[in-house]
Amino acid sequence: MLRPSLVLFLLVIAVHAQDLRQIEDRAAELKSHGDAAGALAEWQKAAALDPKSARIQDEIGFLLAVLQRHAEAVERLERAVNLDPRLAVAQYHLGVAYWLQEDPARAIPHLQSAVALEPQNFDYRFHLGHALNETSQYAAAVPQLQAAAAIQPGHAEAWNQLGLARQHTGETAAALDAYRRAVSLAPSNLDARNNLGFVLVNSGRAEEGVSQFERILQLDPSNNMARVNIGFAHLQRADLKRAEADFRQVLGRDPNLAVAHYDLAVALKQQDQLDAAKAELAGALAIDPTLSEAHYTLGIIHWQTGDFDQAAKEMQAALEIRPDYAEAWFMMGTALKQKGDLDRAESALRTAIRLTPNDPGPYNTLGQLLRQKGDLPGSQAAFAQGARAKQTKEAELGKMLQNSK
Amino acid sequence: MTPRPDRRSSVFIGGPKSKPSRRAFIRSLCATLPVFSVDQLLAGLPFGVQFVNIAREAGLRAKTIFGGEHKNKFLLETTGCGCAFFDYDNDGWLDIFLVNGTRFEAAWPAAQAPVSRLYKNNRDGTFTDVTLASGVAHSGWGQGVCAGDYNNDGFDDLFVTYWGDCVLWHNHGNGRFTDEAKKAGLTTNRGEGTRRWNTGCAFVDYDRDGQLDLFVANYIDFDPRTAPLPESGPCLYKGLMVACGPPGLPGGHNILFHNDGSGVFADVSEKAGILKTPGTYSLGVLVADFDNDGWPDIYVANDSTSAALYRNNHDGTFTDIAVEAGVAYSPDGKPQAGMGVSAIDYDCDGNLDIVKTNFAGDTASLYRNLGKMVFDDQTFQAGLGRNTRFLGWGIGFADFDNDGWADILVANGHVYPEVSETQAESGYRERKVLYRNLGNGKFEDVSAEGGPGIAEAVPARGCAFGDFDNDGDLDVLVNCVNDVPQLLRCDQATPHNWIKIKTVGVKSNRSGIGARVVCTTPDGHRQMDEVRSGGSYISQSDLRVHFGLGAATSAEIVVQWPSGVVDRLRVQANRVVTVVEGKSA
Repeated sequence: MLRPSLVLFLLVIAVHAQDLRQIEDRAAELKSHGDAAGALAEWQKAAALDPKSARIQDEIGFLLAVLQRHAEAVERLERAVNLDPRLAVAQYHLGVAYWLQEDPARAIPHLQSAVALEPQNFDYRFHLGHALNETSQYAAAVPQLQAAAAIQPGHAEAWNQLGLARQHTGETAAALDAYRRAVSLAPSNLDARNNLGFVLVNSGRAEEGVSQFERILQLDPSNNMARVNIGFAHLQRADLKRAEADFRQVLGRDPNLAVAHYDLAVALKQQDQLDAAKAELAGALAIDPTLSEAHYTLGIIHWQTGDFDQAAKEMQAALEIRPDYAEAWFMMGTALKQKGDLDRAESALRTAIRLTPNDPGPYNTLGQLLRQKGDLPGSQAAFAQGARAKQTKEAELGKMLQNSK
Repeated sequence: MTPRPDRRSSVFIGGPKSKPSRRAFIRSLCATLPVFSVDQLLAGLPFGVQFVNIAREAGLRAKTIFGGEHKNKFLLETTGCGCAFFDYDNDGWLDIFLVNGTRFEAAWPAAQAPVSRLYKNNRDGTFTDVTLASGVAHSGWGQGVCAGDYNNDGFDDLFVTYWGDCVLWHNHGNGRFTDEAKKAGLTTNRGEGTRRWNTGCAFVDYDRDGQLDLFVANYIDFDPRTAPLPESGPCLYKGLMVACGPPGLPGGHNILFHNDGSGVFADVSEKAGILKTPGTYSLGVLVADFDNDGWPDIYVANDSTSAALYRNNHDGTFTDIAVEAGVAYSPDGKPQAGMGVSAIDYDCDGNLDIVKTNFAGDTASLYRNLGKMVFDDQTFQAGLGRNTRFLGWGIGFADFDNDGWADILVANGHVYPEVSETQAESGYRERKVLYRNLGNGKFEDVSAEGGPGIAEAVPARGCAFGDFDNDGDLDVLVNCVNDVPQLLRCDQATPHNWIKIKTVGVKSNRSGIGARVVCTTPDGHRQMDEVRSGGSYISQSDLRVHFGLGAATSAEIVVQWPSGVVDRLRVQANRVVTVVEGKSA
């Protein structure tokens, strides 16, 4: 026979469970009608009844994210994950919430947990792959996106992301295949088409690439990026006059497109029109002061014309934007060496070597510098390291040529 | 053409000073009024030099054949040939030798195969083709050429490099030549299949024994049966499928031959330390005494890898010190695609400097010699950094306006005929670039003022410098790929004077190769150059040493011979002076 106190307790639980079910049903109904705020209010009631439910915290977090209350969403989703780390959907939602806060690096571990818990879930795989792409972890992205595309072969964006990952891991043929699938599944996916064109251009099939960009322009005549990419294709082929015309056309329509000013500057520089190139680079930087490549190219032009002081300043400006910009460290070291500022030059060159230990250039320049400083053993050691780096590169190239015969 | 001042007038060293030139006036002005920089003012002066291509009128009409005209399977088809200005009959007028090549898919009968050509100077601005009469008709993959009297018989001989067996044209002095390469022991072949791809060459008396030795550069040992094809890789340039290499191909080794004085050469490359330099892709060869120790050193432009500078150790051996000397790389430590080379003391500081052509997208390199085998890359400071769109081959320091400061001419042309299919870069055919020496360590691009010979776009390769019409200014001979050559007559309108020194060795080699000539004008301006075999892009320039004298009408000439003998003489301007070793002391 049950004691009266226990009976009362069970009765309360039953009423409580019934209330909770009703609340959840209401919340689900509101959610299904797109009433995120209403659904949120119901889930919050549910949470008051069952504060230790990871699932309820996850629902609340999700709806807060939908309502763009990202900080609160993250807080709730973290609570959900803490309550039940094995709740895959909560891990997934928390990952996406971090991503919405533009923090894909923090998103990745949670997306990985979600995938580990439910490997056959397309969304988990796809978003994990996408986040890995966003954080330049392309090699890690490939298997996730492959799996996602296998689960949902008709998902164009999965193929597009897989193409991107393959492109960056140097698997050009596989990247082209993925992009082609994306474009054939969604002909109006201009992003995928743009990527396809870009890889075609970079693999020496400029005409095919240009035809993809032209198709984008047919679908969206105001797509300046496609026009810029046509110019880029001409630039890659050193068809400099046509590239220049393309960039000028874009700038005629949108004078505030920094990348078009930058690319025009590159086309002008390659034609040795250095003053005109400088003007375009200044224009690009006025629009987008964070364009580190523009500072770098400006520095190269100053270097070419013997103004090493200004060259070093531009490289410094590039490095303030991108501290890991190895080429800028290298060229800053070179310019400072030629300016006679040997100590700063040495420091810059050593940073370049640390960032790109396989590039012979910084070793050789350091060797020249140390010779100037009278450090002959140091100089010889630097030259020897440069020679080793060069031999390694050439041996790889030779192997590639022999293997491909 | 140079207006010739009255040759009878004479001004001796220490005598009345010549009227200062406008250039000298500007320099003195800037010294007192430092509002303007010297180069700002000098750069505004007219150059006064025009080049006109007179090859056709002069009778140089044979086309140089070299590989496929529109597509190439192998890099061998791309590098073209050298050429020579040399006086084979000792009549005081420069004759012309143009190396010719062939092509893999050749369909001509043996008798009609393209051959290298010798043209005799008619002394009236025209030439007669004496190829057959002289016996130098020779077909094959001709490459470079260098001149020197290897047997000291008084007539300059020619060495012509090939992919495979090279040719030593012994000049008999009667207008006839015979190939003595095998007899002389100058075998460079590698045997069956793989053949040595010989490129630049230079006669050099490296041990100063009075006999001309021979340096022969090697690009690679090449076998078309095993070489990668464009579709291997694929080998792409700006999206175009092109011939593969040289990166990825095994580099070759250069050869040094020692002349024992009996007309026989021995390969001393290993003993001399030449083989210690790893695989090289060598092209242009430049011999000069860079450290002023009286012994010739050898600089070699290498394609896609560091250049080599073989320092003469005075004991029959050499050490490659290019990296330590600062002449191996670009200023940012990158290997360049070195092609042609030239040396002169462009800043008149008593040291021979180097200029080298490189690939498109790069600049020519200017290495200033600071002395004691230390060089400083002055490319950008000197103003040579603005031209990157051309692909340079032949190059020479030459004082075209005779102002006493050596200018620079660069012959360009893209390496890949496939670029003709596109509007890429500056095209396959490219114009030349002409730099004027401002006399303050800087150069001004005066190509736009250089006349039609500079502006005409051609696929240039080797070029040689010399005064073929003996009018006192330096003309240019250019060999082109699958095209007729150019003979660029220099027509200059400056009032400047000049002097030309022809050396005749007695104890030293008969050509005087390696003799250093110092020219000092009454205003104290001191220039210096050497009698040089080889140079530019696998070509031979006039062995006579030329100096512009500016307004000076006389100069003191000092000739330091390889034997150690020194000749000093005072000479009047505007003439060719023959200096016989030991006769003018």
